[in-house]
Amino acid sequence: MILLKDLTKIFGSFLAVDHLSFEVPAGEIFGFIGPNGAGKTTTIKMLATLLQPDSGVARIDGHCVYTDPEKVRQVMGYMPDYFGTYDNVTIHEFLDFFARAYRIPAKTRQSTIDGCMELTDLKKLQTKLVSSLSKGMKQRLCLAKTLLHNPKVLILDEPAAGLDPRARIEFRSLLKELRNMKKTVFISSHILTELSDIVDSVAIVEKGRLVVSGDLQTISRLSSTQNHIDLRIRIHDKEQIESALGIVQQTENVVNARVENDSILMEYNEEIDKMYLVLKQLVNADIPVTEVTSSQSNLEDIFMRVTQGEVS
Amino acid sequence: MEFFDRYINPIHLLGLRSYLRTKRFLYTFNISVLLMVSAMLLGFFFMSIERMPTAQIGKNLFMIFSIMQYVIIGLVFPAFSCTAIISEKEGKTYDLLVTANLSSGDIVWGKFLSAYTHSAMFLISSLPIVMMAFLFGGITPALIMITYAILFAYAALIVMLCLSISSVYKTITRAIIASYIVVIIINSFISPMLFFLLYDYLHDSELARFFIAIGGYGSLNVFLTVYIVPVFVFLSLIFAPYLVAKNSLRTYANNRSTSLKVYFTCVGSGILAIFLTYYINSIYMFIGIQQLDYEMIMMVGGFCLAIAGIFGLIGSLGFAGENPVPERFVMKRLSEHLKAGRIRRVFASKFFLGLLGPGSYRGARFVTLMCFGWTAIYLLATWLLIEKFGVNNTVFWRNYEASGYMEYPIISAFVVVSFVYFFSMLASFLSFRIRQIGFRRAVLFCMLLFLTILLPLYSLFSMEVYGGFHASILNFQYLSPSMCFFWSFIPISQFGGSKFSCLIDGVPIHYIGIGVYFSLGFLLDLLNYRRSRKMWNELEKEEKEILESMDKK
Ligand SMILES: Nc1ncnc2c1ncn2[C@@H]1O[C@H](COP(=O)(O)OP(=O)(O)OP(=O)(O)O)[C@@H](O)[C@H]1O
Ligand SMILES: [Mg+2]
Repeated sequence: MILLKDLTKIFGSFLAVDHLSFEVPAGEIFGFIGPNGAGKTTTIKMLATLLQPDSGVARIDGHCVYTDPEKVRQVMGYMPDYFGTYDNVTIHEFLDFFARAYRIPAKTRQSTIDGCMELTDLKKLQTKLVSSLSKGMKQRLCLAKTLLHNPKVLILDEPAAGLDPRARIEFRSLLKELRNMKKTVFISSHILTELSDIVDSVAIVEKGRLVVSGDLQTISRLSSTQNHIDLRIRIHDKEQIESALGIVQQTENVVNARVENDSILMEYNEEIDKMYLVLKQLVNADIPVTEVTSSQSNLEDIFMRVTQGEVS
Repeated sequence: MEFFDRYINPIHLLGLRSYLRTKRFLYTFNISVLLMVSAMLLGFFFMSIERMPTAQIGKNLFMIFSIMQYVIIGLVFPAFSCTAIISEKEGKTYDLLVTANLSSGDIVWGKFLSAYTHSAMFLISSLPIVMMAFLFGGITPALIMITYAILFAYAALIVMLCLSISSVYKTITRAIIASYIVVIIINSFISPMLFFLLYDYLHDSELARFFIAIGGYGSLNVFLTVYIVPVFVFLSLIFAPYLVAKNSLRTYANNRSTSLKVYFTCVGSGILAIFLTYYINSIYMFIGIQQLDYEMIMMVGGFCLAIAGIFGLIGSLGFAGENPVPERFVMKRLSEHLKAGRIRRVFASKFFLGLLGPGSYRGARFVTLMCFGWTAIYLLATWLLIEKFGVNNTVFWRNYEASGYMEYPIISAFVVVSFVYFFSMLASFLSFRIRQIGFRRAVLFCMLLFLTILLPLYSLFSMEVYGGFHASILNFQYLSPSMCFFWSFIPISQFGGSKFSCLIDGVPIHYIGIGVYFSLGFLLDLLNYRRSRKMWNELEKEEKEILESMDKK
């Protein structure tokens, strides 16, 4: 549904988006993840026909964003990361304005607006002035305007930023509803976990380059083939913690071992069924182990690992 | 109602809804009305102390009224539009508009309409006030009507100008400052001029002949020069800022400049020439208390037309990175629209121009066509004026009549068209190689060619035949068909006719001109055609390859 091939944007001499290529299948909720300054907004602006790509192609529903921007806009709903509203205009008038802009005929306009207001729970507020809305309500209003022309593709740039926990949950259920409506949703965020239970696939970018992309299972399998577990071993006797650290450091496949309070933290590059090997070393040396906790990598770790954490 | 609903510009509607509700609008509106009424009452008070005759009071009140109008246009109207577009950008609503599939034209037009509606409310609200002056007599309904026509046209120009400024500048403050500077400068030129025109008309005083410099005699001529010309000029000048605004709002850089170029070539140059000539002459008279003689007018006209020629030249030259749009593509789009019954879209400038415009090559053809149309309209108008309305005191036509060469207008129209055809084809020929040549060098080359070879050559012929400097200056007219308009405002009485003999006797030379220009132009046209096809085929191939590689993936 969305296709990027070698999409590139250069600001002056700064490469903001560097030959980005990936594909978003129809009907999926797709997470576009990256740290601050990764080039997410820049990519999205190019997809939304707001910024001229320097090279490469982007297509939405088969239409090239550069040669056919009108058609792209017709099938795409775009919600920017920051947006403003108009003073002295009510919610209904605001939506009416965009409905007219999309040339929705007068006959169906009112019902379309009503439908969108119901979906986003704005119906009760429709005579309120837009400028008096809270951030969360504005976000919903913008989503409502994005849905007006019944787009196949929704492109949302950090839609959950600035929402309180309750609103986030509501937003998530809204996304699920959109999925039921068979819409393709392209959603950017810098927090992967926030999306992990609703997105089907993700693309992770950093410094304008694609780090990894694919559906969630593939990505977590990809990172678990790296055989990575985090281990925390609590030791009863503080005196012996140093010697325990020495033993652990000598063990194969253990990296990054360090002491934290009464525990030793380490990364163990093996499958979980090999974990006993570490413990065996410690037990053989009479180290009083009181607790062992292991954690397999979750999405957050994937994100932390694949990105370098450098903010450009 | 539903029929009209389709044609309402959403931005216009939104502008009306949001701005009319503000207190600011209410205050400015009432204060300006109050100011105007008090100025007129004050004027009336002093005039009645002096025991003026009532007709005089009426005239003076009318003048106070018009001064106040220009002040309001200059002070209040820019405020309606000078932040219109930049405030959308700063308020982060602009992207929403663009992705809502509002074209840059829709945005500019909608913004203009809403600002202009507000301006029009101001203007209309002054109508009852001007009736005060009307009560005293001394002014006619026709005068009031024509004054309003000028005011409306001038207001439209100011509003559009500020709108274009708001689309170019990057911050609100800068846009406001720039708008007011520009408007104050323009207003300080134009409103005195319009005012003096009115003064002239109302008072048969010493100044009476100042601004009717080229107007001469006959009420129709006076009306033409004094009133129709400003309205005409203002209205046609509106397109320049409109296109500037529209162009600066385009997301993608390709074909950004096409419509602006077409404008400059076809309309801007001609209007500029008329306006400058007209205005410079007025200034000269104001200083010298004497009319410019004919030679001076010619010099000024020649100078203005040279400027116009440069504009036209730059207009026809393509810019690097400009893609020719294939006819096939345009035709496909057109038939799509026709089938879907979207008639308005067919005439939307993009497609309309697309057929002839984008890509410097088609632009060049379009320029030729426009010139032809322009000239044809002029000839038709002149013919109507003379045959149907019995006005036969304009130079252009009378000379032909006197000369006995009745085919002259047609011939000179062909000279104009063929010259423009040749020159724009040459420019577009260069534009295909603009990457190699560079824009500046291309302009320089054209200018040199024009000034050193073509013009002197042509003038040489003329001088050979008629002798003298004037002949060569006269030939500047072939740069622009709008020069024809210029001629039509010069009454025959202002010169003996002798200096125009070159025009009269010059028929044979024009045949040569037409032949040479057309054949050279046609040759270049063929070359351009081949080149544009080649370029398009390459583009198409490239696009296909990309698509195929994607499908494989
Ligand atoms: N108009 C511009 N001119 C110059 N540089 C720009 C411009 N827009 C963005 N950049 C740069 O491009 C890089 C990517 O910016 P972008 O806004 O796309 O990041 P992002 O992934 O959306 O970050 P965030 O999570 O903070 O929103 C940044 O380093 C930014 O400084
Ligand atoms: Mg961003």
